[in-house]
Amino acid sequence: MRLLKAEFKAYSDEQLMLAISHGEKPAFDELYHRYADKLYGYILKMLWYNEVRAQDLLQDLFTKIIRQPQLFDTSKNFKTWIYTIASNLCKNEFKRNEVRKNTHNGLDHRYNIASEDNLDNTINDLEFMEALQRELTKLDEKHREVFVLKHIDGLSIKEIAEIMSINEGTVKSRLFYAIKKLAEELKMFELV
Amino acid sequence: MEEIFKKMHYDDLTESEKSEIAEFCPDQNAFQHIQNMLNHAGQALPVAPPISLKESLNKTFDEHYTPVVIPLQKRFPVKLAVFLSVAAVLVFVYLAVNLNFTDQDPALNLAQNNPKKAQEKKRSSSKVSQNNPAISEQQKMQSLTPSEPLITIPAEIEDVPFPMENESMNGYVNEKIEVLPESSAEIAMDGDDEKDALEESVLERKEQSKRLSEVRDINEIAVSANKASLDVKGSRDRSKVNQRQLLKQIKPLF
Repeated sequence: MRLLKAEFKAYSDEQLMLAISHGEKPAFDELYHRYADKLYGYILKMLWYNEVRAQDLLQDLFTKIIRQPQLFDTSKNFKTWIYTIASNLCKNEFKRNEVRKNTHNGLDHRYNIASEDNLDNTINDLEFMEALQRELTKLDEKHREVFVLKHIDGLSIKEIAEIMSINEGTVKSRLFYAIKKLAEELKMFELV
Repeated sequence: MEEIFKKMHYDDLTESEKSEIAEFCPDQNAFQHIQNMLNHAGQALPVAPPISLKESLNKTFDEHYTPVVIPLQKRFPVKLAVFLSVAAVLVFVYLAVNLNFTDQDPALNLAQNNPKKAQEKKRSSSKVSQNNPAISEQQKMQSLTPSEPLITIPAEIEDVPFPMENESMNGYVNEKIEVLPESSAEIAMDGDDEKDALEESVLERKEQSKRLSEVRDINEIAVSANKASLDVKGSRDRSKVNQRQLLKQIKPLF
C-alpha cells in the first residue's frame, strides 16, 4: 500500500532510505526536501561556488541514493553517510583540479564580493557575509570543509570526524586554524 | 574551542581558554567579532538547487522503479503468433489423424467427413461422364462390376441355375436349409459309402448356397451404389441416407 507524502514526514532518515529502496517516491521527495539545500550549500562552498559543478555533484549524489539505496547500512547514521559521500565527491573534484582553474569564473554572482575599497568599518550583515564567503574560498579544502560542516551545516565534531575519516582531535585543530584565519582576515569588521 | 565562543563574554573565559585563543582573540572586541562571524556563518541563507535538478531526479526515479510496460502494439503480435502456432499444430494433428493414418478409401473418408464435398465431386464426375459417353460407360462398368471378382465362383456351381430373377434369395436359402436335415436322414438309411457321398454333396451345396447369398448381397450393394451415384439430382437427405446405408453394408464385408 502506498503511503502519502505527509506520512513520511514523521519517518527518520534511515526509514526513508528503506522506503526508497522499495520504490516509494514520496519518501524520496521527503529526503530530498530535508537535505538538498544543505548539501547544495555545502558542495557550493567546497567548490568555490561553482554552481554548475555543484549541481552536477548533487545530482550524482541523489542518483546514487535512487539507484543504490542498498549501499546505505540502515543501522548507521544517514546524515553522516550522505555527507561522507558529498565530501568524497568534492575530493574527487579537487583531484581533477579543474575547479581550481576556474575558481574566479566559478564564483556565484549572488556572492559578488565587494572590493575592499568599498568597505567601511560599519557592520553590514550582507557585506560581512560576502566577505566571509570570500575568505572561505581562500581556505584550503580540509580547513574549509571542517568549518562549513561545523558552523554552517551544524554537524558535531564526532560526525565530522566520521565523515572525514579523521580523529576528533584533528577536527578540533583544523577548526581552530580555520577560525583563527578567518578572524584575522575579517578583522576590519571588528566593532570599534 | 567549541565551548569557548559559546560563552557570553570574554571575561567569562578561564585563563587557559584565554591563553588558547590569545593569538587571534586578545580582548573583548576580538571575542565579540569572532562570535559575530560564527553566528553569521550559521545564519547563512540556504541556497536551493534549481527545480530542473529535482525534475531530472524524478525522471531518474521513475525510470528506475517503474516496471517496464511493453506497449500493446508490441505485445499483440507475440500473442497472435503463439495463438497461430497453437492453431497450426492442432490443425496438423487433426489432419494427420483423420486423413493420413486411416486405411479407408479416400472417397469414403470424404463422404464421412464432408458429405457436401463428396456430392460435388460426384456431380463433377457425372458432368464429365455426360460430356464423354465413353467415360460414362467405363464408370458404369466399374461401379457395377468390380475389376477383380470379390469371390470366385467355382466352375461346378456355374451350371447351377441362378435363382435371382424368379424368386427371392432368402426364400431359396431358407428352403435349402430346411431341406437339408430331411435329405440327410434319407441318405442315412442307405449304405455307408453312399451316405458319405451324400453328406459331402450336401456340405458342398451348403457352401455353394452361402457363396451365392454373398454374391447376391454384393450385387445388391453394387446396384444400390450405382443408383446412389446416378441419382445426382435427388434430395440431399436421401443421398445421405443412401450413403449411410451403403457404408453400413460395405463395412462388415471388408
